[in-house]
Amino acid sequence: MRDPYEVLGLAPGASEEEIKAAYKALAKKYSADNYAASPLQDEADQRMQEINAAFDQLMGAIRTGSADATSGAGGAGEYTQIRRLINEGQADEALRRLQAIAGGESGGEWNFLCGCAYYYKGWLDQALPYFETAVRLSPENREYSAAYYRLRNSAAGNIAGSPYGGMPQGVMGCSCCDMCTALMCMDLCCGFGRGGCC
Amino acid sequence: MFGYITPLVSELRVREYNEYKSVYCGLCKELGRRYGLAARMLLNYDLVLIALVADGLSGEAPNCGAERCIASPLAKRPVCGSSNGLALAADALVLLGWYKLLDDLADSGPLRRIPARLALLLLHGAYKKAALQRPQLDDSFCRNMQAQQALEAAGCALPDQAADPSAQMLGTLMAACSPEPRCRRILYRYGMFLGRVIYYLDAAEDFQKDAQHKRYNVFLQASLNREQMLSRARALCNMCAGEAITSYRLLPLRRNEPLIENILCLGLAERIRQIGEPRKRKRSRKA
Repeated sequence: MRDPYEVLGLAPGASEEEIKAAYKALAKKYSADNYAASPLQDEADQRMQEINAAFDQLMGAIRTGSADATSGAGGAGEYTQIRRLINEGQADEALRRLQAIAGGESGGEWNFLCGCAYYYKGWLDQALPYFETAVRLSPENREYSAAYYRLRNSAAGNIAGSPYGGMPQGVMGCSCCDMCTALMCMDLCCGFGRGGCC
Repeated sequence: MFGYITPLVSELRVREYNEYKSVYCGLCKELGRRYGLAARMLLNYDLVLIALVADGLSGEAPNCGAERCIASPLAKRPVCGSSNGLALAADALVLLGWYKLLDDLADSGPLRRIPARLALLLLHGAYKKAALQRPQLDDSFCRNMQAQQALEAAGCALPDQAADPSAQMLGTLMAACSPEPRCRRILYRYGMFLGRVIYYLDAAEDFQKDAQHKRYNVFLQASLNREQMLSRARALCNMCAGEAITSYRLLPLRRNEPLIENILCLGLAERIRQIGEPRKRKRSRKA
C-alpha cells in the first residue's frame, strides 16, 4: 500500500485539520457523481478507496496517539501489533513485548497499552497507574482519558454504569448535600431584605 | 467466600422481593431434589444470581407455587419450580461447597478437621453426581483451587494476582449461563470482575482474624494497616464492580433485569460500603 500521506498529497506529519481538508477536496474530486455512467467509473472508485483507506489510517493513528510514535522507539507498527495481541486475548505476550521496547515508558501509547494489557487480565490495580501516566504524557488523547477517568471515578465511589452514582462513600468532590447547601445559601442571599427575587 | 451478593431489599418492589425469595427457596428445593438433604445445608445467596442471570437470558419462567419447608413448617412460602438456571446454580453450589470443604481441611488444625471430614463424607455422592453433570466447571474449580493454594504458599502480595483464581472460577461459572459464544464472552468478563469483588471483600473481612492467626491474607502480605487496607480494598472493589456492571449491560436479558440491576448496582455497592465489617448473618465461615 502507498504511503497514506502521499495518497492525500500531504507532507508527512500533517496536522488533523490538513488531513481532513485534503480528504474532503479529494473525495469531492473523485465523487461517484462526477463519473456516473462513465466507462472510467471503476478507476474513480479505486481512487476513492485509496483515499478512504489513507484517511482512516491517518485518523486512526491520531485518535490512538500512535502518529507521533512512528519516529520513536518501537514504532507505530509494533504498537499496532501489540494492540491486536491484546484484543486477541494474549495480554501476557503483549506485556512481554512492551517490556522489550527500550525507552518505551516515556511514550503515551506504551503506557496506555501496558494499562490495556493489565486491564484485559482484570488487573485493574496495575492498569490504573499506567493509564494515569498515559494521560499525563498525552493529555489530548480521548481514548486514554476515557479509560483512566472511568476507572478512577469508579474507585472513588461513582461506580461506572451504575445509575446510582455519587452515593456518599468516603471523600467525594460534590454531593447532593453540597448542592442543597449551595442552593439554600443562594436563596438566603437573594431573599434577604428584598422579599425574594428568584 | 459466600453470601456477599444480595439485593438491597429496601429498594426492591414487593413483587421483586417475592420473586427473589421464590428463587432462593426454589434453589433450596432444587438442591434437595437433585442431591438430597445434606446438600441443602450448602445453600447461600450468591448462587441465586446465577439462576437469575441464566433464566433471564433464556427467558425461561419457572412455575411458581406456595410450599412449606423445614425452615418454615407453618407458613407457606413462594417457591419457584425447576428451571435450567436453578439446575446450574444447584450443581455449582455443590461443586463450590465441596472445594471449599477441601480447602478448609487443608487449612485448619487437627480438631477443626473433624467437621470438614464429616461434611465431605456426607457430600461425596452429591459431588460425584455434580462433577459428572458439569465436568468443565468441576475442572475449572479444581484447577483454580490449586492455583489459589499455590499463590498463598508463595506469599503473593499483589491483590490483582491473588484474586485471579476466584476471578476465573466465577467467570467460568457465569459463562455457563448461556450456550451462545457471544454471550459467554460477556458473561465471562462480568463474572471475572464479580469474582474479584468477592475475593477482596472476603480478604478485607478476614484481615484481622488472619493477622491474629498468622494466616495468609493478601493485604497483610502487602504490609498495609487496617485503614490503608480498607481504602485500598474499597477502591479495588469499586473499580471491579464498575467493570462488572458495564459488562453486564451488554447482555440481552429477557427477564429478571430489575432484580439483577438492584443486586449489582445497590446490593453490591452497599456491601462495598460496609467493607471490613463482619456480616450479621454469616452463612459460612472461611477458613
